[in-house]
Parts: sequence; structure tokens; C-alpha cells
Amino acid sequence: MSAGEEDGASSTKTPTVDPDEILVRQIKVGGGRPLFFDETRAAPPFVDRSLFLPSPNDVDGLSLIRLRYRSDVWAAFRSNTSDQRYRLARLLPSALIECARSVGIEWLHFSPSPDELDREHGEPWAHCNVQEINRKDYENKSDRTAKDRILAWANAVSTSVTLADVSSPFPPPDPAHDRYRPAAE
Amino acid sequence: MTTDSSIATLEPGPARGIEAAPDAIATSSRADHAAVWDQCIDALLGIWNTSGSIPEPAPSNATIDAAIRILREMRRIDPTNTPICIVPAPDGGIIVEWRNDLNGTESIQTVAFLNDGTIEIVTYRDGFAESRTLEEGFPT
Repeated sequence: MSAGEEDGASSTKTPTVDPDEILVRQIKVGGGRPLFFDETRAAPPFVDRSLFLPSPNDVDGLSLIRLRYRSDVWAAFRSNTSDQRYRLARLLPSALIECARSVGIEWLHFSPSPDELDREHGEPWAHCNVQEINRKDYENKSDRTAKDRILAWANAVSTSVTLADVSSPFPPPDPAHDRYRPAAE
Repeated sequence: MTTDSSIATLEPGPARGIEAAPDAIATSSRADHAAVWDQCIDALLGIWNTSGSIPEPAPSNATIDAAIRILREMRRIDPTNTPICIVPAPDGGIIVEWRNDLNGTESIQTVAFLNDGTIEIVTYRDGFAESRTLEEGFPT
């Protein structure tokens, strides 16, 4: 079964997410940068765990972008916050699933879901959601276990990210020169 | 008896065939911990009224104030248990992190002071997390 396979996913022509394709999480420049870190006791993480938690916008699941269908310079851009610069943390679905299983989440479903750039450029959509890592469960006060699993998952993911996985901030894309789709896989 | 000041301050130096006296270690340790607490408070004061390079939503002044007051109280109660990290919370707030060794297992505890006035405590241990929210929120 592919990482994105799910029942009822027939409303899109976008292929399901492959366990070994590269996904990225957008990280706001300055986001998670420590105000203080005692480096005499440990090395600071490359990406703070809090940046892998679902934001209020991630109601349907954690937002990730597939580099298979969007070039990195465009993946680091949001048209609704065009002044905000982003770094990209590269992630593998198979590794995210492994982290999930280690904290008691049986499986992760990666569902293609169009964002603003996908609506502009059409299918295949590059944006997808990790359904199990969603804000609704994270905020569910009546069942704390779902939130605790998401917290543990984010912690596991952040410890697996290395320096090589995190890009420098990207400049805004230039539509005249920067291809939206990657040149080749 | 030596009066070498580098021993008293535990600065690195050549072996002198003498161990630092326990009192000297304790004094140095207290000074080190005090310096760390000062750095933590200074880091929070540094973002008062200015988010600097923190992306929006930045911590509010009320959040920073609550974090400083609680850190000062924790410093008074347990001066050797210094935070290891302070980061801005992505949704607006401050997260303070402690790490401790419990029977050979590292335990991470984070206290998040959020802009909505709530305080959330998370303990990470053995790959799992346990969270709780303080209903009373920020102390007044």
C-alpha cells in the first residue's frame, strides 16, 4: 500500500504519495530559532519539535509539499504571505510513518489536497496533508492521548532531521525564470 | 596550600596535583547556574516590545511577563535546575525546556506560555509524551 492510499480518493487525478518521495515542511525564517540555548549541555536541534506540530491551519492534517510536483523555490513560497521567507525541511513519508509507529500511531495517510498554488497550476497537486497529525485531534481536550501522540511524533521527527535536511531560506520565485514544476525527478 | 585562582574558578589549566576543594566547586556551580538563569531572563527581556526576528505571531508582552515571573520563581525554588532552551512557540508564545536524567533516561520537560493565557506542560520520556494544561493560566 502506498503512503497516500486511502478509500474514496477518487476525486483527484493526483497520484498517491510514494513512501520514498521527498516531501517538505515549510519553516518560517526565524521560526523555532532559540532565544536561548545552553550549548554546554547539548547541541541545539536543527528544527525545533514545535515546528512539526499542526498549526491552526492544519485542521485536516499537517501540510507538506511534494517536491515531485513543485520545485523547491516554489515550495518555499506562499502567495497569501508573499513577504514571508521559508526554509524547507526535507522528509520521507516512510520515515514519518516509522516515527508514527514508534509513538503508537498505526499508520499515516498522506492525502493530496490543493493549496492556492495548486489551484493556479492544476493537477497534479503538490500540497498534501498528513491526516493523523491534525489540529482537531491536537486540540481535543476530551481525549488527551491523541494530542500526546502527536507531540511525541513531532519530537521523534525533529530528532531525525539533520542539517542536510534543512535548506537555506529561498528568495521569492521569479515566474519568468523559476520553473514551477521540477525539471526532472 | 595553593592560592591559584584558576583552581578556585575551575578554569582549565595544567594538572597541579590538587583537586579543587568542594566549596570551590559549589561556588563555581552556583555562579554558573546563576549565569544561565540570567541569560534566560535577558533573552526574554530582549524581545519585550519587539518581536525582532521572531515570525508572527510573536509572543505578547503579557506572555513574556508571565514567563519571566515564573522563571524567577523557579530559580528561587530550584536554582540548580536551569533551563536548556527557550524558543518562541509557532502559534504565539514562549516555550521553556528543561532536561533531566532520571535513572539513566533523559526526560525533557517543556513549559509553554501561550498568548491565549494558558500554560501547557509536556513531558517527553522513552519516546512518549504526556501533556497537561494548567486551567488557571497565567498567574496574576
